[in-house]
Amino acid sequence: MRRMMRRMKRSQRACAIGIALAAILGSIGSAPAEIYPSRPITMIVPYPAGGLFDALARILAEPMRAALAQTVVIENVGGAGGSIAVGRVARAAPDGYTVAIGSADQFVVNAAIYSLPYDVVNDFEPVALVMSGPLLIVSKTAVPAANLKELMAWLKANHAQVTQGHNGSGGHSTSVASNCNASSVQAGNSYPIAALLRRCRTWSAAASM
Amino acid sequence: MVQSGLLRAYAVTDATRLTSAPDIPTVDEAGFPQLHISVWGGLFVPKGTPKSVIAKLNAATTIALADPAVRRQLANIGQEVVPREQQTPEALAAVQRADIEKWWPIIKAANIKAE
Repeated sequence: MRRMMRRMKRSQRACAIGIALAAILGSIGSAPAEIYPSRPITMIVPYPAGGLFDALARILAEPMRAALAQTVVIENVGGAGGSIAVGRVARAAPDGYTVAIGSADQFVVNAAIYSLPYDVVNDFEPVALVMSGPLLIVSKTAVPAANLKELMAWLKANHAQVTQGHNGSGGHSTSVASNCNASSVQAGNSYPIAALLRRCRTWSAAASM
Repeated sequence: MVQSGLLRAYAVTDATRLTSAPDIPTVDEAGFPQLHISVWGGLFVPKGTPKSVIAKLNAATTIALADPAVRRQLANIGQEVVPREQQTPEALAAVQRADIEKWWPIIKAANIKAE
């Protein structure tokens, strides 16, 4: 009797292991890909509505909806240079229903200027490079400079009065710009000016001419 | 805005001039060699997303980017779609890595902080 009980227990255990294995295999076999996407996908734009990346997301959403046979909902999450938005994506379930559309602002620069609760490289998987292009360095025509060297000299001499446009990602880019202006334009090093240009997208807004 | 005379364009931050605005010099030509900056955009998902799901999202993105209406709309806002062979996770990882290597030392050296 005792032996029978033991045998039963053993077979129950075997059965339980069998069920557990089936469950694991089942979850591998019916990978989310088979049913993905079965509900709307949220594309998080790390800028307020109306900017370049908002436009980009909205242009892509409709043809992606057609290709995926699921709605792609755009959600604008501004603030802190887009790090609030990107942090939300970092914490989202890794199931393909939360997607970030972003740039070097969020996925490169923010990691150097903020203390972020996520890692811009290790907490994400890249999906696709979408667009890439240079900036134009521009000013209003009233600025007394005929070329880039004259513009840089004028900026160096007048940095206290110069205001820079940026793409609306928040007050910090303005302060980054003034930091850059004060410390690096005076230092005469062109590369920190590049950092300034990177943050101050007057330049990129002007790229659409 | 440049073409209508509202703004003056000094340079394009690339090694080659823009085909759409061939009169604007490159930064190299304007006396600032290597001041190359590109603005890129890409799609990211959380770490751990299954490869098959990433593949589906990537395929939907490439289908969207091949659509002539999409390319026209993007051109209207001054954006150039990257060639098909670069519309990949690998190409996005590569531009991110290159920008990290380029900008992190510059930002740290200039002591730029968000305020």
